[in-house]
Amino acid sequence: MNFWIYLYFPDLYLHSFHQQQAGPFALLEAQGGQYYVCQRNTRAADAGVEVDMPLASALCLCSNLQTSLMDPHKAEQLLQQQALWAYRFSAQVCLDPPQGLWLEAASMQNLFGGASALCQQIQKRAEAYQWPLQIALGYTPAVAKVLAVNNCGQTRQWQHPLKHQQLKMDNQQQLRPLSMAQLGLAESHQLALQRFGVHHYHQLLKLPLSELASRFDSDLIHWLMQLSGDKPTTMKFFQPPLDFCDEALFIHDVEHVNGLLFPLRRQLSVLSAFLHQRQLAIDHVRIRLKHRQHAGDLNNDSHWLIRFARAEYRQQELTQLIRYQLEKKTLTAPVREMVLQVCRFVSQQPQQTDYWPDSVHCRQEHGQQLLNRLQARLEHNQLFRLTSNADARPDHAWQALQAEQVYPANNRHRVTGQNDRPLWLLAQAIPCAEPEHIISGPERISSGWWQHGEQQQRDYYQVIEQQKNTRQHLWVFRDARKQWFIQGYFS
Amino acid sequence: MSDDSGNNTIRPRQYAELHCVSNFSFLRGASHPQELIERADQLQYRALAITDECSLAGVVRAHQAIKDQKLKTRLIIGSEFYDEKKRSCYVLIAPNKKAYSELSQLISHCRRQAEKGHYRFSSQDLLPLKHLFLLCRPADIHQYEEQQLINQFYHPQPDKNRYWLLAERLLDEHDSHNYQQILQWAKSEELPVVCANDVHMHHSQRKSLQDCLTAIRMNQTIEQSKDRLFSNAERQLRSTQKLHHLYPQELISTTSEIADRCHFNLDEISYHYPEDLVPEHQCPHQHLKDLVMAGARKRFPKGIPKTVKKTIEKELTLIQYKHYEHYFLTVYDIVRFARSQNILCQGRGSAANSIVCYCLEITEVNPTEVSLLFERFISEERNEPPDIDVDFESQRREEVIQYIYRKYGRERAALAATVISYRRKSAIRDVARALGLNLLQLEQRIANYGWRYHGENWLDELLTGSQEPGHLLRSLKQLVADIINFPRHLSQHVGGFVICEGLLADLVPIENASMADRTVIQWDKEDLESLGLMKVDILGLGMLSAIRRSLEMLSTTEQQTTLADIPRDDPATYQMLQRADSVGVFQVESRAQMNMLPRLKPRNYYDLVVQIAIVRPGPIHGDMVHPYLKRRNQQEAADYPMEALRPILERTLGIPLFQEQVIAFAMVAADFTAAEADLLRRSMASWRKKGHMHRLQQRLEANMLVNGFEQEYIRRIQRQLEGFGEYGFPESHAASFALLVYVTAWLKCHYPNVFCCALLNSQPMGFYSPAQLIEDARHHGVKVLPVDINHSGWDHRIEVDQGINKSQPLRLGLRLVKGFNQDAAQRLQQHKPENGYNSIAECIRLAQLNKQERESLASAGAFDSLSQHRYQARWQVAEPIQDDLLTPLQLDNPFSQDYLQAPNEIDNLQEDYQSLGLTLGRHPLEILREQGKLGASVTALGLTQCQHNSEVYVAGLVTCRQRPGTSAGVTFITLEDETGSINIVVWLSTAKRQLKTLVKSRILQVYGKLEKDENSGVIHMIAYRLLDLTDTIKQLEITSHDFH
Repeated sequence: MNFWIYLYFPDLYLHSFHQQQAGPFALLEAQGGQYYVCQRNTRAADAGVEVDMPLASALCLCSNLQTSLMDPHKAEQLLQQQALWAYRFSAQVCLDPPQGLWLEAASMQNLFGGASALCQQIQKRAEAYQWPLQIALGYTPAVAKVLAVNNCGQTRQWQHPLKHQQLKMDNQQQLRPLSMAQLGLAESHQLALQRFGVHHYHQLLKLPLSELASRFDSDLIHWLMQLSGDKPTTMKFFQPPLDFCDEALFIHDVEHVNGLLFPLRRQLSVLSAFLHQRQLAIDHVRIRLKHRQHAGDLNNDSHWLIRFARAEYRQQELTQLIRYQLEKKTLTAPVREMVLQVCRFVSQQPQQTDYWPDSVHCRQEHGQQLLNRLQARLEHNQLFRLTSNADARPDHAWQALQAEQVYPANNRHRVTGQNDRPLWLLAQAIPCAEPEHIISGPERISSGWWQHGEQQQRDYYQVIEQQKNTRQHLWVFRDARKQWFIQGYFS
Repeated sequence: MSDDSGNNTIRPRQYAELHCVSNFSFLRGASHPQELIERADQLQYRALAITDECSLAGVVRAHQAIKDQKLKTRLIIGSEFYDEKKRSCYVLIAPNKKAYSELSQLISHCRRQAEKGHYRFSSQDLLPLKHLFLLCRPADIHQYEEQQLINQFYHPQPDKNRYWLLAERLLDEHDSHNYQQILQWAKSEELPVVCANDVHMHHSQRKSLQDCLTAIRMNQTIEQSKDRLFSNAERQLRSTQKLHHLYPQELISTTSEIADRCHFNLDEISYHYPEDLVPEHQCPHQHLKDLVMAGARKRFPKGIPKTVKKTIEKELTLIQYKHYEHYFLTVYDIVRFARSQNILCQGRGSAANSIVCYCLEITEVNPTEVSLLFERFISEERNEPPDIDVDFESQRREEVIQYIYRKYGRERAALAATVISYRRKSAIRDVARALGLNLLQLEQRIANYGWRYHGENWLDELLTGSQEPGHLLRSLKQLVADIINFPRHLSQHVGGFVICEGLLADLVPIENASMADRTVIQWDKEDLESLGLMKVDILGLGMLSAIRRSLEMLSTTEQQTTLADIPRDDPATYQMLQRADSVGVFQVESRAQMNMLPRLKPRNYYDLVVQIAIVRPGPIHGDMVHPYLKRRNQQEAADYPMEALRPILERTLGIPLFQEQVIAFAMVAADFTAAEADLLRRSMASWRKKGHMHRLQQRLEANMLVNGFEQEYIRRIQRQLEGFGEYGFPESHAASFALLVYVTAWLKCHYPNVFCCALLNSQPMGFYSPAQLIEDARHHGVKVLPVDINHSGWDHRIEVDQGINKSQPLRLGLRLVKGFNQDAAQRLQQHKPENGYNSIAECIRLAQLNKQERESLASAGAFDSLSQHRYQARWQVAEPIQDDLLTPLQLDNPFSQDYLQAPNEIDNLQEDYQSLGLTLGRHPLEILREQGKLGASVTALGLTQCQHNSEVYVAGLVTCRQRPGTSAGVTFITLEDETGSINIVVWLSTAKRQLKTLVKSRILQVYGKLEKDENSGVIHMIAYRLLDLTDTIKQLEITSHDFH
């Protein structure tokens, strides 16, 4: 028979904040345009701040309350981190968001020398991280959870090997004095039971389940059956994150970069197969080179991070890209071992088979390849893409993004008339003399007061400048000080 | 750069701006209508058309500004419309009254088709228009719809033409293309063209506010909404010099030609009172006179006294002079309907306290008894519209509203609007969100700022120490200052009805309110007042329901009891009020009023009028309360700063207490003209909102100084005016309310059981919860019986054997049971066997109660007479009923008692509070005291024996926490124990020190100093230390009024 350990991390999110010598602090959730307290530290609790309290009330009680908004994504990540840590204690870890984990314990008790020793180990390791942790052992997942949340299981000593029946009896004894709220029942159930005069679990046990079933909805009955073990608890098993690591050992030290290419090709073939299998792609690889250890050298490994402008998964393309990058590198010392690592993956774009070589998709594909190769050839900060935004000021209406950056969400353009704007806009306007031949204008732009408190005020004109035999079609402006500048060139 | 200054020596008054939106195009326009018209006048515009988007909501304000400041620029009324894709813009302007009606009808049509705040428009809607001018900026003139419009509006003869293309040079990225396109169309289609500037602001300085409004409208930050922002500030009222620079003379001349063809002025709106109420071939005056005389004969059955006759004549003459007959007849008709339906009502307001209204039964206040003079409230010189607010029983007000709709039709009657404007907090929140500031930090600052005690630099104080960048804070301050008082949306007025003879939509656009089947007009109370439109306030008052119920209980089958039957000047009633024994009594039941009652010691009706009006911000801010009390208690003689003020101030012993007195005071002591006094009255309603009060204040000060008043006295009068601005409560209203105070006090004094029963049946209303009302009734010796399935109906009732008297017990009704409903109560009543229900099973079977109904009754103890205890009853009724004839009903399950323990006293107490909100068992404090949990705490009754200044402990349930705006940070707590109530005063320093206990305790123990006023007998305690005893009885549910 199984039994379960429940790890309950009270206020997990709150403790992820560095809070030494912190004043009253609360985490907030936004609901319908209002903020509510969802976690708070002891200083805030002392001042009367409670969970589910509206922010305005909390601030009324505690004027120096510091607050931060809860990020559900981060909360999920935190629990994942805890699960990863707990994975060392059990092969079966289940997530119980937002701040609990189940660990299957029966199969692990022999390894750790008994259930008590396992619990103590967990507790001891957690202390090192200063996480508040409440831990309990239960004959069902539900019981373990109730006992841990109510902090009823900390000091138990269990004989080894632990018998299921013994644990069950002991657990039942612990549950008996718990109130309906401590059992984790829904508020409506708590209230309904209270109105029969049932306040504690032992009172509830006196009521025949069939009688209860005819008076309550299935949620309560299911929960009670989960407590008794008559019904299994639905659990979500934790999968540790994906990681790729491949090592190549060299019999003879490699002294030149070219010598790395051959083993690398093999490694990339493994990586590509790994990616194919999982329909994944990568936008970087890490190469770690272990050099021949000389006396006195502690850690002289080389770490190379190779980025791609676009995610890639094909072996040939990966090899090509990495080769370009390696060509620019030199070895600081002979290499005796090379490790290829990837720890971040993205999903693969579906491959399309196009019969028409000139289709949009094909062109995009070629574009991607070109970008990746340019990225491989150039330095990291040499490749940019242009993007426009809706700013009325021409010199703020476009910006350069690094190749791997994504376009801002909801990026919108300002609709301008055809031929109103030159294609070539200068990032920095050049002073010029007052133009003689104005073709059109003015277009008045006074905007941007919200940035640095300075409003740009300019009148823009299209002008023709005659220089010897050339005619230039310019876009110029006059600023508030009546000085003239060139902003761009028409083709 | 072109010159933007107002230097306009070139041909003044030649240009008329024909396309301009104000801030009544919500979150688009960045200037008030008044600002626009003032600026247009400064720039010497010939005229300005306010053309808000499908709205006329802002025009009255511009109109009023022209009148108030005697501006030369004329106002043209118009409105703009966009097609669904926002590509074509149509500006309609009204040259004459017919066109104005057309416009108002069109706006109503578009608004009525869409949900609140929106409109639905298509260019086809313009085709039937016969009088309006159309200024059009089409997306494509060659489209069929546009050609149809040209056919309809264009006429080759200039004086008959109603169609112009709209050329607007906005100098933005589309400017040259759009402008050239319009000119080209004008040429190719041979159409006239006119210039305008799509004005959104009166001055370019409002550009940042306009951007901010755009971001708020898009619910984004400014950074996120950049594609929607205008690229420059050219949508402003431009100087004439600049206009001449931008447009050819021909286009500018066309603006003035069009403006000159627009003759319509809002003053032309001739409001016609509804004629329905005057019989054919009879003049309204004669009809009113007949009704009044008939009423007078009824009111004075022993013969109409000569003085009354004389007053009636005088009042009727005044009414005739002011043409108010229809107004009185309309109110009379509404009141008559209410009476026919047995809906209690009472008029109040300036005109309500007339003998005419008394005879028409609009009010029960007999002006001859209380020497209230009609002329005091309404006079020939003062240009006020008549003001009668009628309070109806709140539970039945809807019937009256539906009657009005039925009688006049929705096309002739609608509710007035209330303009919801930006206030300080909403302004800061919205602007900060638009600027992308840290909202959490801001919320903290907002919560910590003492809003009530703010100074002029409140925004600086609020933002002190903020970490936000300096330029954003500067922008925030400027924008918040600008946006405050900007209209945000229209809402419906609480009960102000506008009724007219013809179609209302001819006068003012009507739009949908958020409530189903409700429509509101686009003007608010002030706009209506400016244009002299009649408004009748149909208000709801819960206390009238309670009075009607009391009177019904006191009536016998032979004799109907009415308000008129209640004896006046009953000494016992006044004695009761003097003891501050006023729980449940209308208006004087609050803690502040209760404190005042033993000090003021009301002895007659007029004292009650004063009592109501004195505990208000006006007299309190003006420090008028204590001087008045001193004079009243003859500790100081009445004197008058000027002999001329004696008639005004005599009735309040030389101290100005009422709003009317202060206005009259301004006329005498500060030489205000009637018009200025009128302006003062109107400005007072919006003291904090508008700047022009400042001017009046300065004038008041200067003139009073000249007339020899001391600076300190002037300052007090000014603060009093501010107080009235915050919460005005004039004598004319107090006079009507005082009657209700007296009636309710009389009922409480002589029939506490009946009064309590009526109050309970009229809930929710008033200051106290049912628990407090019942506790008070029990202290007055009323026997209260519990809820019982066989004895209780839906309503609470007096168990009468023969004739009503004060000793008959009050049986609680099922309406008190939480989760129970009237329909189920009716079923219970309907199916009850002659000898009552014998078992729970029988009751459930016969009345077909559902699970929730059954459980509510069981928990409330309604089945106690049929079961062993309420847990058992609850268990029994929780089992689902098998709706099957063959399955026997197993509700009386015998073994359930084995595993359910009977509730003890505390359990019962908790159940009572949870199911009923009160208990008829022992008071929780009594139980705690008995268990020794309260230490040496003295009871409320025991406090009367304690010495002044002695230091004692008290404890009780917190029934009220209050921090009134006039109290400078003091919190008042009322504790209730088994013997009565205890008033606690918590100074700010104690409150700050023990904030958590103060705010969260439900059972509180207080150590403090006892203060006793020997004259009035008022006892209260100054708290030194607070101790939270809530945990002593956990989960005890009791409602507490918390006012912070």
